[in-house]
Amino acid sequence: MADLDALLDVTRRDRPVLPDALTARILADAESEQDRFARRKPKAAPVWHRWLEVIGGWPAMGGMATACAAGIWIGFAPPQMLPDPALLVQVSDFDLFADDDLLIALTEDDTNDI
Amino acid sequence: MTADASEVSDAVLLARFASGDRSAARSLTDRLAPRSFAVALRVLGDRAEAEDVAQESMIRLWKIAPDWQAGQAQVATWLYRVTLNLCLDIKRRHRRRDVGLDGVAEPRDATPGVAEQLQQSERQDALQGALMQLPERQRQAVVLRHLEELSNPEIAEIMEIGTEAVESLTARGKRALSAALAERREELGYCND
Repeated sequence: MADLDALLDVTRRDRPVLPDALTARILADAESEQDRFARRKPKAAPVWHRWLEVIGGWPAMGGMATACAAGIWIGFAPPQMLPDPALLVQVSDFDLFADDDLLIALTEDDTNDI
Repeated sequence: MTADASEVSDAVLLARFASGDRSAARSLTDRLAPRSFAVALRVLGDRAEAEDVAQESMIRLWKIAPDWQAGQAQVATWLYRVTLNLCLDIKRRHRRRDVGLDGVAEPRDATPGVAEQLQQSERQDALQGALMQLPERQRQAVVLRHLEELSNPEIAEIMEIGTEAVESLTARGKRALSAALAERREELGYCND
């Protein structure tokens, strides 16, 4: 076994050298692949993905979903300290434009020519 | 300028390669291609096939570069695995052949000590011939352990087996090599050493 160990040692140090032609072929392959990467067009992001970026990403989406859920919950089962939203929706007999002055103020033209 | 290439990991070089750095391709080729070639040559015993395997292994490395996830595995380990799988593919297509004196050794120059060089060349050819007689997995394990000097855990990862299996393969392979060379001890000049 000592002879084998010595032979393995010599063989290990006598590593085969990479032929120059092989090195050249490998580098040519590398260059081809890099050119292919450069030609690759980036895929367009889907519309919903761009919209998500505008509003601030998934954290913002999570906040909106939470707010929406809270609003629905309050609508169906409001906490005791809040008035029932249903009671706030009623036909009012108050005519907002009963006073002609208010109507005129909202619609008058703000010029001095009149 | 960037840090010396020798201080940069293979994974970082691969990322640079993917971003178009030509020098990274050269550094990776210098580091990794010789290992792939050496393993393929020892496992296949045929220089032309070993060159094909080394080139194909590196092509696969170039192709995977944009998708390489740092920390997932060592680049060299991955390349060794690809090399061995390609060797297996070739073996399945060809029957195993014995390697003669011209199979692996480089031609020797007629320099002083030529007798000693010829004897060393014969011994290395005998070793390669004995390697080619080993079962495929034993040969792979012996080459990775005793010629590439990889650790058992590294070999286990490359060959996708346990470390105990690696130890068993290398031990059996080495015993078989020793027995094969013992038969030719006198012929190879070991009795005179």
